[in-house]
Amino acid sequence: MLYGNPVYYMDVSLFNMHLFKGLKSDWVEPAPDIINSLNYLTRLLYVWLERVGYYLYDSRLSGFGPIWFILFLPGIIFSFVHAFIKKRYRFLFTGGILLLTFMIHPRNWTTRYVIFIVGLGALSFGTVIDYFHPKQNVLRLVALLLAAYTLLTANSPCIMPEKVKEFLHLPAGERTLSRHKPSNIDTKVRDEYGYWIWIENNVAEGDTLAYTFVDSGVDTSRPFFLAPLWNAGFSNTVVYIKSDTYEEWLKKLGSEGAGYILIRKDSVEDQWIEKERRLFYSLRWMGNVKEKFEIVYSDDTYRIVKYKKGLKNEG
Amino acid sequence: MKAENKKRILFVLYILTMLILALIYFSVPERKEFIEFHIRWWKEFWRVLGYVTNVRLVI
Repeated sequence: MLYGNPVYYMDVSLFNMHLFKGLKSDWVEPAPDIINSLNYLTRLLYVWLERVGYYLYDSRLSGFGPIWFILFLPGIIFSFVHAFIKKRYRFLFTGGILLLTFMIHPRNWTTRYVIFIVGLGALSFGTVIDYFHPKQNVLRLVALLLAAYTLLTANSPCIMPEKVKEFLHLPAGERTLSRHKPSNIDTKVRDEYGYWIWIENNVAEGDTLAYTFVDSGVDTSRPFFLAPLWNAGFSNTVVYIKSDTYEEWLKKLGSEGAGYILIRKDSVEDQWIEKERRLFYSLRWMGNVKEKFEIVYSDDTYRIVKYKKGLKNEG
Repeated sequence: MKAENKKRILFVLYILTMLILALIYFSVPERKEFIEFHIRWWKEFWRVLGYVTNVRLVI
């Protein structure tokens, strides 16, 4: 209702007809090179064979597990042929819709986008079990063995037992993502851990933190996750404030009551703040000049600046 | 009996198909690394479980 698009922020069009207006019409992440080098069928097989070293919850190259490949795939073929011969039109209709949806999905090799097809596999396997009565116990045993294998191999390097042991010794407030450093995101966000920790420990309830960079297509720098911009109690406010001019930016900071500003080093906001700070230091001998920006956190890539006009106790 | 024979043959074919697919699935090169990781994971789990429960569990 807010954006007139049920799948906002995705832009949806069909045969050059715009159905729903959004911000992006392409996928957020490009396909892995191996996928681009395979054809429609072989990329599905590649993914279903799970040619990865471990399970990961957001893996793009993991399949549906061995149960799908070994039991459900032949089950689907069998059940469709069986339904066709026996004229089971309801099954054919339902299965047909699911199969068609799967086949036209532009990223059906990304299993989490098309996980509904496993439901069809389960239905089909039920048909197979039913058909081969009374020999179904063999199939049940195979299913159970594969389920046990799946259970034992659903672990991820992101959560290792030693890390759990380490966290057991920490107070609850310190069991944070920045301390966990999970392997699947560490390389992408390790330069952000510093300001995450600072925000957790220093931004108080009711304070407003403004951030100044998002993925604009040309500049793809952005906070990788927005959740760490909130403090440990999620009791502060987070706003995105960007402007073409310094004056406009200041006005927005004031109207939003921003008390802290997260900026990237060498960004245009960083240059504005540096200019303002140089002016302050050159004029403070006059006595009646207030410091507008105070740097409270700085690392190689980011800064957090206290905006003294915006804090609640500053009025 | 004819229907029974047909069912028996289909069953054998189904099992054979499953076996072939299982062979393909478990013989990809990455499967070794996959299983080795999980053995490592469970060994670490067992060690940590021993630590948490104060019982020395050795594998």
